[in-house]
Amino acid sequence: MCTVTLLCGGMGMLFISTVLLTAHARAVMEVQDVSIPLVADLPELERRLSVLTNQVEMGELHAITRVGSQEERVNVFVLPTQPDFDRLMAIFDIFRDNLEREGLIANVSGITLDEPQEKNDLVTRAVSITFDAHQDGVEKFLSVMKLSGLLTIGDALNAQERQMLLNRTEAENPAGVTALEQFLSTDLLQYARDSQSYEQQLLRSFSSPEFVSAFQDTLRLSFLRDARRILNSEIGRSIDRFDLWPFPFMIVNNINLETGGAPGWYKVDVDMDLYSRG
Amino acid sequence: MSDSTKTNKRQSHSFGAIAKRGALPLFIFSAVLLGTLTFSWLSLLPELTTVEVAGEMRDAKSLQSYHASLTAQISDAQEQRNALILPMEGTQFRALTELKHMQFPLFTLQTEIEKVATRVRVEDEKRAVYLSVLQYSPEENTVDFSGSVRNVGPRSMTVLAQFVEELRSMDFVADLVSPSFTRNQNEDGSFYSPFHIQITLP
Repeated sequence: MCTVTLLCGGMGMLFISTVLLTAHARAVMEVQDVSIPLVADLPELERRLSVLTNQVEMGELHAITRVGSQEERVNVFVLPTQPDFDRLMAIFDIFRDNLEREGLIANVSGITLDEPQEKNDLVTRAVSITFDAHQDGVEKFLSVMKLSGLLTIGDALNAQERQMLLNRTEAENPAGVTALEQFLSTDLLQYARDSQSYEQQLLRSFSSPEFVSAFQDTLRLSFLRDARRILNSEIGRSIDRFDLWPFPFMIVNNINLETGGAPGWYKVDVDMDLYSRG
Repeated sequence: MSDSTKTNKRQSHSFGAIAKRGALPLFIFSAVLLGTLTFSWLSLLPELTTVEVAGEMRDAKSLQSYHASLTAQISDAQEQRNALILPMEGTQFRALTELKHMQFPLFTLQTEIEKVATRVRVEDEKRAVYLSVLQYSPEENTVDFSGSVRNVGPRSMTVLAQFVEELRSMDFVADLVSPSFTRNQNEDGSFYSPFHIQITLP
């Protein structure tokens, strides 16, 4: 009887020991596979969180002192409750007069406006126009159309370009986020008139060659370059003179180019959507 | 001396005898092993597998949850920061501006198609593919273009097929609707193949 008890007890403890041994092996493997990589990541994550928290605090402080919001301007000029057709026609007139003077456009048709239609909680009206134009004229027309509805430097950059600049501020000078915020919220027309001083103002907060190079690439490769060129030209000056900035939001839906009689000239047929909130 | 053979007689033991003799050593060994492993599990292992992070001793599970909570906090802070720095983020206005940025530059598209059209020709003969109309629809993400293949005699349909294949291999072509292959004859007897091609952009 005593032998049986000893044997059963011994076997039982051996079994529990095997389970414990396996648990030990699993715990060691977990350290190797999970804990070590996580521990290596943590300092960077903690640093990033601290940088972001500081940036949020600075952003909140800066938001208190900000005068007038972009949203108000969007609601009044870009996506108004009722589109201002006189304003729209004046923009097309300025565009046509300037390009006709430059000899880049001819035979501009009247502008046709369709009935309003609901589209993604907004209202769109189809706008059509036809004209003959040189390639440079078509490019200017498309740039003006792309410019319509954009208000600030931030709007002229796409999501990746904006994110890239924000990421660079985190890496180089987190406190510079307010300088970046000021730069991105600068009115496009004001920026086009004196682009260098706005760029220099931002670069005072970021001096590393990496940031300067990334920033110069953004200026060169983004739509900002076209926006600057158009708004700095006679078209931009006329728009400023007649107080037509910012433009209502339009987007090209369809463009038809037919080879024209002269080299580089096209017969152009464009359909656009004019957006509003009502 | 008589031939006596020495035989090693192996004594046979019953299982009961073996169990009787081995039971105590097995019990002692198992008890010591279990004791050691229990001590290790309760005292040594926690000491060796936990690290102090943010003022707390954490094991793998706790590290995982801390890592996940940090990542979530970063994502929240990033959204909050972006909302302060880029005030119109997440609005319809921003969605519309992004739609504009996603449009392909018209003349880049035209130049790319023209490049292919210029490249496709029969040996050293002059250009064969001519484009006349190009229509870009950003809403549909398609480009339609028409034109004709000429100056290559009766081989105009072969050259058109070559043009279509070249276009299919281009990066900016996600899909292509083939034209109908026909060969027509002008009044002067020369051959030409008109085409209308639709490509879908990536």
